[in-house]
Amino acid sequence: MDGKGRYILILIVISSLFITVGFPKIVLWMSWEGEDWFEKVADSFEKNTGVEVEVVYVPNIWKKLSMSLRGGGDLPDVCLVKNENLESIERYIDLPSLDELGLDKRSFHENILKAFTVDGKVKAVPFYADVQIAYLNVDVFKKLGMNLPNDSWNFEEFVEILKKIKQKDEGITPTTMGLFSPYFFFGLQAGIGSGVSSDGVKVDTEENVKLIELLKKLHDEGLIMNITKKRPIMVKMFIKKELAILPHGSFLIRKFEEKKVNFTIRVLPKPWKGVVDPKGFVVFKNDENVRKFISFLLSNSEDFMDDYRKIPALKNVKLKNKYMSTLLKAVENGVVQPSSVEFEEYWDVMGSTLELAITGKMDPMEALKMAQSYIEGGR
Amino acid sequence: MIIFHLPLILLVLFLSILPIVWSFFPALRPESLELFKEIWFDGSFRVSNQVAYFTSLLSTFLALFLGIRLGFVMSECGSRKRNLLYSLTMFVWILPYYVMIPFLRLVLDFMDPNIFYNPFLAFAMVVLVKTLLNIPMVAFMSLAISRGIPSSIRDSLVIDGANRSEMFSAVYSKQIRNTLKPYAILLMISGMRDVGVPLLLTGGGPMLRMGFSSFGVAGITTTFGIFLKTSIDTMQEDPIFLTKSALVSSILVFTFLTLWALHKGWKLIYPLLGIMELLWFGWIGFILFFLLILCWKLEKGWIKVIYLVSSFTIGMFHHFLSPSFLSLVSYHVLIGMEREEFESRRFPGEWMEHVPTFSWILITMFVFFIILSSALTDLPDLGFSGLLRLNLEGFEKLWEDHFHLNMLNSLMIGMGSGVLTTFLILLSIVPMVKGTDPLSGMTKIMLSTTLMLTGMNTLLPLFIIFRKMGILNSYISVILVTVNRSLPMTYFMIMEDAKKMKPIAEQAFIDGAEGIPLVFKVIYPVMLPSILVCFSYSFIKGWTNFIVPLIFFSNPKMFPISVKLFEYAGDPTLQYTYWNAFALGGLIATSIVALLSLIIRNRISSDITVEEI
Repeated sequence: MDGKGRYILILIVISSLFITVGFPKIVLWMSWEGEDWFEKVADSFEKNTGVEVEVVYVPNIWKKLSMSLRGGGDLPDVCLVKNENLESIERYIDLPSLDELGLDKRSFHENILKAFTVDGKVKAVPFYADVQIAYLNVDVFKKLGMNLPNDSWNFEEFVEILKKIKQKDEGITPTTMGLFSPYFFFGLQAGIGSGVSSDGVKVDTEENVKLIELLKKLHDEGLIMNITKKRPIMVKMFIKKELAILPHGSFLIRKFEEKKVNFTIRVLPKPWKGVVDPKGFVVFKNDENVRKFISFLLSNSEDFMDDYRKIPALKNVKLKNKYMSTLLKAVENGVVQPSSVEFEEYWDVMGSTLELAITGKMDPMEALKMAQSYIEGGR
Repeated sequence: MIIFHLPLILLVLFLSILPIVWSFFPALRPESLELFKEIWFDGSFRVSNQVAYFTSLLSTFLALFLGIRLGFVMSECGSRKRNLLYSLTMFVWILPYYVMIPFLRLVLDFMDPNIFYNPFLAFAMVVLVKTLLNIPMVAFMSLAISRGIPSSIRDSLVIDGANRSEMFSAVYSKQIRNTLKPYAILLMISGMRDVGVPLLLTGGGPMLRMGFSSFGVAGITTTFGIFLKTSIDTMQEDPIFLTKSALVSSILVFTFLTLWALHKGWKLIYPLLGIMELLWFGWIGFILFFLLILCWKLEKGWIKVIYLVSSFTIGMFHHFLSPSFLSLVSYHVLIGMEREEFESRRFPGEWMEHVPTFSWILITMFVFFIILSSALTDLPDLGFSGLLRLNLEGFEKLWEDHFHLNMLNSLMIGMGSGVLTTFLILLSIVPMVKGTDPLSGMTKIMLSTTLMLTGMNTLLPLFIIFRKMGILNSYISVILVTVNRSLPMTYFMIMEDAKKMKPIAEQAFIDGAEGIPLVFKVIYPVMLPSILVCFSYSFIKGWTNFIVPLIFFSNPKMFPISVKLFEYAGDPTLQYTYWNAFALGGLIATSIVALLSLIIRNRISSDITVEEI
């Protein structure tokens, strides 16, 4: 290589180093809905500040984050998580509190804020919440000549409606539920069985046994079809008008609107409590750029909340969507998953417990006692 | 000469032997012995032990049964039919299982969303899919062995008026079975620790009451692989998952020793089987221990029958059959039983070859059809009515997600594995050709150990070792494991060629070539085709690696194609699936493998000798 070539090579190396090291960059891991929106906001933030934001979509975000924490892998600068994982993250890393991130507690809804509180400190930036609601297929109700229930319906009325639907048309599934899903059971347990309190997770109670027996009975009678961990199948049935009532998370509203399904939503029949599922940002790198980016995300979140039918954690977000009043009622009537390591054990074990108890392979109390020992053992 | 084998030996020591030894470390502390005891008697461990044996035994038996027939049909039919069957078998072989299984699951879900809560169907599906994945290799090997059968034997049978069925029973089946016995043992052991098939199909469920314990939950399809992987997923503490790994390794070593010893006719294995009965059942195991001692001393068949009946009865009473009983049954089903007469009576006539042939064509064409149509239509979203709607969203999704970066990651792992394996093999060739290395016997034993005993049981200890070394989230961690898994096959493959190379090297030596020029100008150039095969084999292993990066990588930027596809639709627990992108990505991954497979295709089908197998 001649002298000129050598200088050009050195110049290229130095420029590459400058390009890779010189510009600040924020890495954000996100999951669930809104990847496009996050990308859009990241672009707009980069245009405003010159700071690049890399948005990485991670489907099973907690699995990967926990592996990174445990295995010492690279962590993102910011990560969207469920509130229930906060205490586990705190076991590895002391997260900055909301105050340390320069955000004002008073601008957030208190019930969502509470979900992210560990040892008296808010350890994440609350972003939004989903909540469980009941989707009613209006076309199916019309076809069967039945009136839609109102928001004050109760569980007995719900069961009566299921029976009527089954009587009128055997071909229509009255309702489907993830009967082996801890996510579903948690809300049912809180309303009909005995709930999980912040003091601890107690599952082996007579009330919960009765609840399992009730679910098993409704399942055996063909009133509830069990579809666990197979959301696309439930959605397809609802779209095809083969399903009358679908209790599920509020994030499906957008999907049904896109597919032009004639539906409406209701709060879950009392005393069944809808699970409120808050998500927020945990910050692993508390620097000025990250703080600016989070503020930018929050201040531009109106579109996201409207488009994806989310319940915003910020008080001052103005929303246009027609479902918001029902969603807020559902939050009021709902139950928030606790943020504790014990509750993670609950999540690990309850699926199998419910499967064994509802399929009759194990006595419900025996199964619940086994789950309790697993939760307390913390293996 | 020792220096040439040393890097390979050190690598295998580090990646195969150290993890097994490391997993026993918790037992060195007296307080941890209690933990060993607890897990040994734990329901989830015992259920997965039983499931591991049964799924592996049945799938190995079926793969041998069907694969040998497919190989026979390929060797006997006309060239056109042979090419068709060969291509279809090749298609299943090169199609990564993490692409094929989710589609099978999708089709089954179409039929019944709760199909995998039916214990019988879930178990049957895991066995059948494992069988399907194992058939191609058995068929290729059978084809290669059948080519080594002297045509004079075949001709004399034809003159004696034997039909194809009789010819199959009298010559092919016997010869192939005898040659494939070590491979059957390998299939059996690797099936026991399998994680991929149950993970992608059933997740280990449906759950069993007996498998629900404080250390985990095991179901009707929880093999040892799933049993161990759950420990990582549920973030169990290090001593617990090390102990689990150690116990699984112990059972695998025990099973291997039993099958191998019985295959070689070493009766000394019976006292070991007796000790296992004692450990498994406690005091009641004494009866079985004495029966096994009698088996060893008297060598009478009826004592063995009494033992088998007693062990089965006690096992059923305790809910869990013992590893000794299960190993003995596995041996008799896979290796010990002579079945020629049975086969000739049960499968007379031509249908014996037509039914498996057409079933094979149907299955492979169906899989291909589903993948292709999912890539280009709305098939999964709209059911089979979606076939009419062209959908190119998959291309968009791959583009938006920078799928090329995942391809680059796979390429890095593949290239790294290929280069490192080739380097180690190049070093090993020198002492192989010269035949003067005192370490070659040890190397073979260590590589055989790697082939038989490394899997999820060594991955978990390696997870901790790599974490301590700080290389968990790096290409090198996956490359090292891939190289370690590739070395046995490539080493044994090259060993045969090196033997043939010896006279050429001696001639070159007489002609004045020695030292480095001999190696670089004579040995390597002549062996270049085989060296390329080694590179390709290891590259494919790296490119298609799924479980290792799934466990070792937590940073999405590092994900190779396999893990990215798992996140599109492979994971059965996903709430959002992208089947178009999954199918397209799968086709891209497969086409690269297909290209490289062409290089090793001839080697596998024609050049592998009986000695190598």
